[in-house]
Amino acid sequence: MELILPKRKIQHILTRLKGLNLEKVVICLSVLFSLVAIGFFLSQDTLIAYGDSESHLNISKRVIHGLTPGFAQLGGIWLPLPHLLMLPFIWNDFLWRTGLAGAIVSSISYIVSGFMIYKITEILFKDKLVSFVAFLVFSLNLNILYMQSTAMTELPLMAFFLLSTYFFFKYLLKGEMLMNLTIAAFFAFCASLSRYDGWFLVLAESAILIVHHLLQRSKLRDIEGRFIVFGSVAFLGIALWLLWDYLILGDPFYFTSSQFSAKSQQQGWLAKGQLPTYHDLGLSFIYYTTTVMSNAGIFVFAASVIGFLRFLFAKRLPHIIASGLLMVPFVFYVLTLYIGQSILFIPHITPSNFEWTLFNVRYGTVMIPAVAVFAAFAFMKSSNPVRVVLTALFIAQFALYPIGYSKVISLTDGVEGLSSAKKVDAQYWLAENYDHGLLLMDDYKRITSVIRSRVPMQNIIYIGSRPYWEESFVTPEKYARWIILQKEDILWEKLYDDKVMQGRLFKYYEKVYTSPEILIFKRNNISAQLTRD
Amino acid sequence: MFIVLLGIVFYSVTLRGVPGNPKGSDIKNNLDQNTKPLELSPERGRYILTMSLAENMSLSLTPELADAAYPDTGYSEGKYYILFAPGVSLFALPFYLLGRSLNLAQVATFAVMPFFAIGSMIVLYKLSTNLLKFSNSAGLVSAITFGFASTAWSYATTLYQHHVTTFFILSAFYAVWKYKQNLKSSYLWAVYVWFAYALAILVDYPNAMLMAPVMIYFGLVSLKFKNLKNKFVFNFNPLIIVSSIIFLVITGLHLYSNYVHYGDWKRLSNSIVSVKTLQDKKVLSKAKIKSQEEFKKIESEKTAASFFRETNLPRGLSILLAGPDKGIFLFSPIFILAILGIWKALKKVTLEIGILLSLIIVNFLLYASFGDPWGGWAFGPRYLILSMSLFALFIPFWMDNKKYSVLKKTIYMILFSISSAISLVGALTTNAIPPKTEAIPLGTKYNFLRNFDFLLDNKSSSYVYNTFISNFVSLPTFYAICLGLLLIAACAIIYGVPYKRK
Repeated sequence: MELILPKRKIQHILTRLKGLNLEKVVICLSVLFSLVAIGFFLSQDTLIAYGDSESHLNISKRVIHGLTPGFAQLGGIWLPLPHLLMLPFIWNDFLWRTGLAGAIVSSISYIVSGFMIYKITEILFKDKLVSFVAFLVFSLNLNILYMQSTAMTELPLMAFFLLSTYFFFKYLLKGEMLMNLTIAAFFAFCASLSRYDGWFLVLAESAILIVHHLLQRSKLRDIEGRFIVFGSVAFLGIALWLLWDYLILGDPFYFTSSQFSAKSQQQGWLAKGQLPTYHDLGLSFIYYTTTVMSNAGIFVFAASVIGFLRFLFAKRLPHIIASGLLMVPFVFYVLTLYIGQSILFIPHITPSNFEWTLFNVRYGTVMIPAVAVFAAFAFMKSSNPVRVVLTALFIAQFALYPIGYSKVISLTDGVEGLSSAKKVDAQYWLAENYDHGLLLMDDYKRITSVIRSRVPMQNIIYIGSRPYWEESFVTPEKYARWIILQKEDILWEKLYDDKVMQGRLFKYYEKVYTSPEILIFKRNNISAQLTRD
Repeated sequence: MFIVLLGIVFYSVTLRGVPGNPKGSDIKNNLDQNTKPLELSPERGRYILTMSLAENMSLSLTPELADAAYPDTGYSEGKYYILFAPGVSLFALPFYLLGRSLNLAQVATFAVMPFFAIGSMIVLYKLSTNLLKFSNSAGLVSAITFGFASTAWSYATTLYQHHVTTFFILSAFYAVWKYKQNLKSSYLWAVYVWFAYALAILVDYPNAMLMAPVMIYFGLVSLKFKNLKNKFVFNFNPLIIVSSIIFLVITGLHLYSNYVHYGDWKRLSNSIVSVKTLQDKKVLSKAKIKSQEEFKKIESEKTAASFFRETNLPRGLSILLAGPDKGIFLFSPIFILAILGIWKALKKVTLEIGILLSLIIVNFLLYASFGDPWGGWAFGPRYLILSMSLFALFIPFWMDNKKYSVLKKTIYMILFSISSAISLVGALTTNAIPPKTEAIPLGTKYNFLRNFDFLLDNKSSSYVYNTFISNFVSLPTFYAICLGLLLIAACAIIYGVPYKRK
């Protein structure tokens, strides 16, 4: 069987393809993939599958629509930029309750990230086709497609991280223009206000900047000057956050020392003997590598490892130093797992007798840009037949999900892992029975969803609603028409475990909902009478 | 000839067996003991199926045979079946029939396996000399490394699927390469590729996946691209389609058999519900199903694909690569040279080398993802026998250098001696080596050290030794003689034949 194609026609098509602006194609495809993914996950009711995603939406919502709105609602644990970026959309209740307000931010970040991966690969390898391959590997990753559909902070971080990396590469590899360094510093500043991973990026860029100039034999004064240009912008985010925590919460290190910090939570796991990576560098490395592999997909991951090794041997030192930046998340997570600042359970290696075997695996998605770049390098260095095999493997990767061999692990964590939002019956009961008035609840435990209970955010009294919150510990009936007590939360301790307060509670309230974990109280007629008197 | 001679000599003296024509009642608590030919369920199940085919002309088992094959028996449509694919048993059937007439049914049945093992060694030699253009001695190096310095030896003398699988995959790969030459006989090679693919699936279902790189290679070489003056010509060789008829016929019969026996053409023998599961869940009692509803539920939960999971991968890889009970480099340290050879081969990756490496990768990934990467009680990493053959093919890449050639040959000989000493002790004694997790509670050893205990206790599985030699020499002496002869042969190949790449 023969297929004959006249050269003239092919050349005509090739000329048109060459004329095609691949950058526009990248953006158009990103938008398309993003919309399809959001539509799909919306139809599956998984846009707010993660407990954290609802918390991110609520933090942003409270800045403009809470009982005591204002920027103080941003709190002092999670970095503020992703919440601030949601503000233009979060005012709308539909966008808030569906999670679309967060999805829009993640989606834009995804489009930016895909584009920047294309540009970074182009700088490193100077090959548009290979850059396009890197873009496809990133943007068609199912875990990334899920994360860009939900109100989590990984994609905003990724976008700033890649923007900063791109301009930093331009500075290092294309003539050391100060403007590029300043822009890189600005995006590093944004990254440092998105997730704590960004702080490590700032440090890594600073170190690479110094090493680069030392290798270039630059003058010490010159290095100092450039470091100040970079550092004064890049470190500003960190300084501002420390200042914020000091001014608002009285402790510049509140984010790491308070009872709500990740570190404090990890102590609980450590006490139970379920923090396997703690002070075990080898295991930290294995846990994170496995997580990256599972997020990337085994074939893509294997290709990227080969690409990475070949890259180390094939490229010049400045390229290797620069590309070290792509590995920053890897170093960050291995270190934080080692020191017990992070926790990660992945079913591949977590002992089955642990309480949970799936938690925080989304951390692996942050390495997908590096995986994409190095997989593309493996593609670039392959002969045509091997490229066909690599392409076949890339397609085969997608077949592993429907046959049940692999799982879209970051989505699975959100749906059935420890990261998932609880879907208790109480929130649906509330959605049907809530009428009006203020509702007192401790939403730190996140047992009952504010979003699913359909109570307006303006009517919620929670830990950030001062002075309503503190006063409600003494006279709950003063403000709240509804009270939700969730086992082991602070309200349960103050209002239910304390017998005097329990008496008061039953005097003014009627228990209208009971489950083993949750009690809901509604103000009774006596209380209404007293209020009128 | 040399390979055939070595194969016949060494596989004959280590062939596992007992004289006579064992019956179903002879198996339990007798032939299923350590160092006996049916010591483990994979060979026992396959042998029992061969018996059933020969004696009852049926794939379904009598209750007596089902009991002997337990726990690898399944239940479907009111009958008992073996949970393995039927291919190996079918291949062994003529040998069984011949052996039965000589009162050597079991020994003759097991004798089918050396044919495939020797066949694989010959194909390795051909691949090394014809395809990779190495010298004859390099071809022999690949062949003897696989045949006698890997744990594959232990499975060449019993009734497992691995050697048949390896033979079909290697020979199909070679056939594709021959087909690529566009010779007059290309159509025969194309037919053989499909034939081998169909039979490989009949032998073991995961082979459909394991052999995928060869089929991709087949597809790629069927496509030709020519850049002529005024046109591009894409040529697709229709032989690949026409020759697939043989595959469709064999696989069609296979699926029809599934339909007849298990009630569903998609239901494979390894996905019918095991008797053990039914008994554990108290659904089966005295060959009768108590609750059809519960049975259907259990049946629907079990699919062939559910055996393989990505979540098993890290554990599986660590066990197969570096496990103290199954690590490939622990049992066959000679394959360290293969890694060095692969490193060298990577400098110029041709399509053929890419496919060979893909076969290794698929083999590792597939069985590292398997719920039981140990292969139950087994000597060495038995699921990696295909990779062992391919590793053997890469060793000449490392040796192919005039510099330090004597040093390299000596290193090879040292590693060959260690590896073949380990392989031979396995082949002469037992494959019943538990995984570490099971061995520790049992207070037994979990790698080849357990085989040396059997060796020192004079407990051998070899038919030749037990029947003809044990009265004259002890097992350790016999072991030393065999190993000595093997090392002399290896030395002759390594130092005696000039090593030169074509």
